[in-house]
Amino acid sequence: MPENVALFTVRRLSLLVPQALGIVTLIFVLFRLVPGDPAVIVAGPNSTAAQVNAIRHELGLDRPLYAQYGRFVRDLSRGDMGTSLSLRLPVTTVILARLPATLVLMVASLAVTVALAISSGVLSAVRPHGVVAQAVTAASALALSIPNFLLGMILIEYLAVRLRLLPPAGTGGPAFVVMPTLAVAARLIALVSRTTRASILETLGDDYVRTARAKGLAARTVLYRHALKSAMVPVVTMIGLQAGYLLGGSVVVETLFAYQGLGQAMITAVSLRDYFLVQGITVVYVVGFLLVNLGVDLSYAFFDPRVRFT
Amino acid sequence: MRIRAGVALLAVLVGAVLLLAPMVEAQGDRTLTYAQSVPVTAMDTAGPSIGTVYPAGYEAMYLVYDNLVAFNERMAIVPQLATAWSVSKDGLTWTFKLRRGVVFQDGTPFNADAVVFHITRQIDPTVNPSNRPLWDPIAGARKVDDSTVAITTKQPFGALLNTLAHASGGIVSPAAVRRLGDGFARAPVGAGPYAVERLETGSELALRRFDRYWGGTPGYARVVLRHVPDPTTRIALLQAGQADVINAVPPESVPQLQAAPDVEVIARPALRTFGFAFNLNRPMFQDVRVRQAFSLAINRPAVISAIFKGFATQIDSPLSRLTTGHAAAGQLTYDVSRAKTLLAEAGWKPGPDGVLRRDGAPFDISVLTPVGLFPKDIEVTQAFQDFLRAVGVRASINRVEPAAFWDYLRVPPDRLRWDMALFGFNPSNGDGAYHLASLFESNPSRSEPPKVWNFAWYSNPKVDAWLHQADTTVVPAQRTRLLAQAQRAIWADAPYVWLYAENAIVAKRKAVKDVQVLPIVFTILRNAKP
Repeated sequence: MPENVALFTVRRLSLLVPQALGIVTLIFVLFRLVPGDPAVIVAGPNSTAAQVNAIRHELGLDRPLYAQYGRFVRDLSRGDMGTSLSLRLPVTTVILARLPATLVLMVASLAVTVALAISSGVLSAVRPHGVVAQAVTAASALALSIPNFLLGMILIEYLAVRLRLLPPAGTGGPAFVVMPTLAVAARLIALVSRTTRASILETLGDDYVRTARAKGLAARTVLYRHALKSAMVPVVTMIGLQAGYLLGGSVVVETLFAYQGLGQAMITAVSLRDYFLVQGITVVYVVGFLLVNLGVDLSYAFFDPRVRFT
Repeated sequence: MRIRAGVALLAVLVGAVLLLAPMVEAQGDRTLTYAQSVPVTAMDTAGPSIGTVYPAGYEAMYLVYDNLVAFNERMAIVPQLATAWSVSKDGLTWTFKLRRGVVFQDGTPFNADAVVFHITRQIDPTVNPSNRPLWDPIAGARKVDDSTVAITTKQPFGALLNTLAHASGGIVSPAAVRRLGDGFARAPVGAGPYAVERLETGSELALRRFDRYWGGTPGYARVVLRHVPDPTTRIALLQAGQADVINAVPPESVPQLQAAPDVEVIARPALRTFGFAFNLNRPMFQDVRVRQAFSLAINRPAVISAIFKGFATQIDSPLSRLTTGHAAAGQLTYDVSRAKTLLAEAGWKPGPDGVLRRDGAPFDISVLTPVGLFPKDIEVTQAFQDFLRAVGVRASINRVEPAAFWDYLRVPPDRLRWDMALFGFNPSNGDGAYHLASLFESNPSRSEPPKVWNFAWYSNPKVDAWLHQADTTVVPAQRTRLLAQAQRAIWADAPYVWLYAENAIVAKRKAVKDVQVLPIVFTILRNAKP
């Protein structure tokens, strides 16, 4: 089986190349369809036609589309995504400066999700009608129905302004990550908690769990060693599916918390019509999404031995 | 076990928070933190206009650079690096006496050579494609002696001092420009009270006190300009003591801030005036009575009190009262029956559904508005729609993305896709001639986009002549008289439904003294003291 997994991994990785190329092509086409000429934006409102043409030539926008595409892909493969019009820095530099903050937010959100959602899901599955289960159900219904920016505002008002426990906004030490993490993760926590609960309840009724019980194993061992692991497959799928939502949600939440990550850079770049920066960040988001999906696919092997990779 | 791990993680998080929170509080000592609605990206006085984000970049530039002359809070010109000036009889040559003993933040001396370098750089359109109307009238600069400079203009240029006081008039260190090249925009060196310490890719600018500043020791050891896009978050930062000054406060949040004991709100009328521009290429707007009727249909005091909570100012001219050259041109009144009469005289009669008709065609118009670009833009446009409905005009709203808004305005007249458009113009040099010429001077060609912002395609030869004369006179009283004539003519022609002048609303902690808010919506922190 290990060689099976290795084969699958190699295959899955090689699939990544055409996927990435397809998406990069799509981005190229979409950005050519966007109204507005980058050369005009660079030249400014008082420019002459000659100035605009000179800039268009400098940016290579006067060349045929296929030549532009070739240059775009070639530059991209070298990590060159052009120059940010507003910051006058290479797009790659800007992205590398902003990416760590967003990664911290993503990882923290996932960690909090796994810790809170799986524990609360298991708790409410063990006693499906207990007080804990009911509280968890109510809390997740609430978390699912509050939009992340509203939750963010409520957190700021109570934790930062009234109680002064946390800084209201900005980037800095771990204290600045807490509220954005909660705002991004709340919905995911609720979803994963419900999935965990349902999945465990289902697994507990399976034959192999009954066999494990019949062998005389302790209830705890049955739950953690046998039921929980295979119950994780739908949970991991749910987390994987929602990772895209995490990325999208981080755009809104980063802006609210003035958190200096990629999402806020994206919003600012859009408002300044910083064409190449928006394009570069879009590429990073899309590639990030592909990688998360890859991770989810590969993790199935760990959680469910029945999953065969062919 | 999983549960315990979760609890442990939470405990660690809470512990980290409790440990870090006091540290965050302590570092506020002698640092002035300003939360801005838009980021500082570049701070070069020359360069592409997309580089300098308005107003954040200009506010940073007013901390880093000193100019030859400066605006005070009433937009009057006061000396800064120039101590005195005079203009020749023909109005073409201005002579400036420079302050002695001034150094740039890199230790190089400020002198006539530096001023000549700066002016030469600003007027070269290949180096500086932005703010052209401000710099094009200047022919050049010449060193008379080490502390005297002569600036010559192509024609007499009445707004020269306004150009020099504009943020793009900040004097750069020639040595630093030569050394840093393109990098100068991110690490500029001037002779102002605060020097750049660190610029975090468009999110935060840290400045430190320039100890050799000629005007005495600046009030703070450090000034931090931080980009906080959400207004609620800016207010929270101020209330939590994490920001000392915030800008772009929404009017509805003012009472909440005024109730806070250690917070002070500064609200003042600004130079940016708003209105709905008529697309004067449309047949239905050819009749001035129709344009006047639209204006009479609007209850401006209601808009100002309901939508702006009183934080907007009535106007009596296309220019705000504080703009150089402002003259009262008339009163804006609300009179629905008079509006209906004027429309009837112009041939528009109500149909069975109450909608006005002429030759069987209903009075339907489309109104263009950006969403989130101007204060309360969509709310004001919706109110406008209601006011028009009351006189029988059916308006549909065409709302567009702020970044795309300009593309709808800057096109040749046959490609305009709207009948009316909400617009506000801020003359960032404080000058009325610049404001009027940008919006109302005839465009040179109908096959090209408007030269500046005359997308209403207004054209009045008399106004053109007065504006040209005002531009080429350096006698203030004469300029004021010419601009007054132009304002009255434009007002009577009604190419806009004029609305109000916006108010700049800034909030600060009471402990911070001497924060200035200029009517050009710039918050000036250079004199701030704890």
